[in-house]
Amino acid sequence: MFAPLVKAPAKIRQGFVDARWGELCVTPLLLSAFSGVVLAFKYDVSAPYSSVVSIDLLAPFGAFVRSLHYYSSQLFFIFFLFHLGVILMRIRAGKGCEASRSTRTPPAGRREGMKQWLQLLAALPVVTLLLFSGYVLKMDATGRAAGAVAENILLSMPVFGAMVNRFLFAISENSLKVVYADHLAGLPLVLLLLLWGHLHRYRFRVGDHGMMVALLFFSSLVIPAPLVAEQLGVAHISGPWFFVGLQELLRYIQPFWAGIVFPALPLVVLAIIPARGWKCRWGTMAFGIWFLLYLGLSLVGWWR
Amino acid sequence: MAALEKKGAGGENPTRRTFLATVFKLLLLGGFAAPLTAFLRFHVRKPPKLVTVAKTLKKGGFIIEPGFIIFDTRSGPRAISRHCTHLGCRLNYNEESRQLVCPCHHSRFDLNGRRLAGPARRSLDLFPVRRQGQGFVVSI
Repeated sequence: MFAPLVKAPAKIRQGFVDARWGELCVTPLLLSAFSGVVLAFKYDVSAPYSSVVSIDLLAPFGAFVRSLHYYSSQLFFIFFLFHLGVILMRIRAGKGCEASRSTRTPPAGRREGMKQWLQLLAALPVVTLLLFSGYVLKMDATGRAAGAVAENILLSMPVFGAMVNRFLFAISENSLKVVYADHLAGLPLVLLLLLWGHLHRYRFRVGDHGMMVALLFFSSLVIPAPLVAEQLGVAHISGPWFFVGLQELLRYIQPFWAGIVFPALPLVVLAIIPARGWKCRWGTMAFGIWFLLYLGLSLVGWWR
Repeated sequence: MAALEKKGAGGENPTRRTFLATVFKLLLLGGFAAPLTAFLRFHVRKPPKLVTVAKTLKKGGFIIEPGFIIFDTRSGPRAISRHCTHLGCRLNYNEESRQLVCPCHHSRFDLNGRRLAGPARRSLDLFPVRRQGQGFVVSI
């Protein structure tokens, strides 16, 4: 009687591994890019919040376009994370930490595989910044706070902080000009450069994902994208869902360690996991500890 | 020692020459790098901006503006910055506890701008404020 329940986790796991998350990423990415360009015709970077409110309340189908942009971007990010996860699982399954140096894969093949893995990994902060910059650009209560926090975290970085801030945020000096330029052009260009070798290799058809497109359209019609007005008596605001753990960590340790070092750690350990021997074992363990810690911090943050 | 004393065909000591050349280059680099770094790190402060607040302040009351709050105190109006000294979030005023609260990481400040609790380490900035007619002018 309990056999289906026992087999279910393994089936779910296999289903997760077999799903072509990389291919599934592309549809929401295209929808996000298209809806973003449409929004850009109405968005005014010199009056960000009022232009977003105008889009939502006054522009015909404005709320729909903004919601479509929001939900397709979120879905792309989630599928991208799943894609990374599955690739990592396949790397570990294919090699294992104990695999010997001599394998069937020739050195050139391993180098090419490592290069692709590192490119995919390098795309992760770019994708995160794309999502985050979009969050800041609406300049509602949460967007404004997120932008201020991000800028001050960068400024806490010794030596290069001010320079990096000038390229990514610099909100206190330039309002949202830099953020907008990055969101509209800079970051998508970097993402394209990182993923081009990946994208042009795989055949893809939007028609194959009609169900996902329909679901996104329906959600965008029914559920408005979030917009939080300034409220004077509010004692707590939450940042974007993927940074709630960081927001919680910032309460306890200094901005440089919480905002720069801590988020950079998983990138470093994920880069060395495909190696063999002790690097693989320690990398896997370190990533597992980091992930559990971040999950715990996020749960505490959400509970607030 | 033997390696240092070993001489080349022209009677020169290549190891010592290379070492001294490297040291010289490093000193030269440091000579340029130090003033360049000092220059780049210098932050040119923006001149103060005067903000006119054309509102009436009730006795014991307050006026909330985007960048500051003006409180009526016994010693006159006091303008306190609304930017949290932790990471720059905009503070909200809690009338019940008479505290300025950061909604991001929950730092708290009193009506003198003094830090009470939370991850912020510095007290809030106070801006010069003067009356102008029925309103105020704040220098931020």
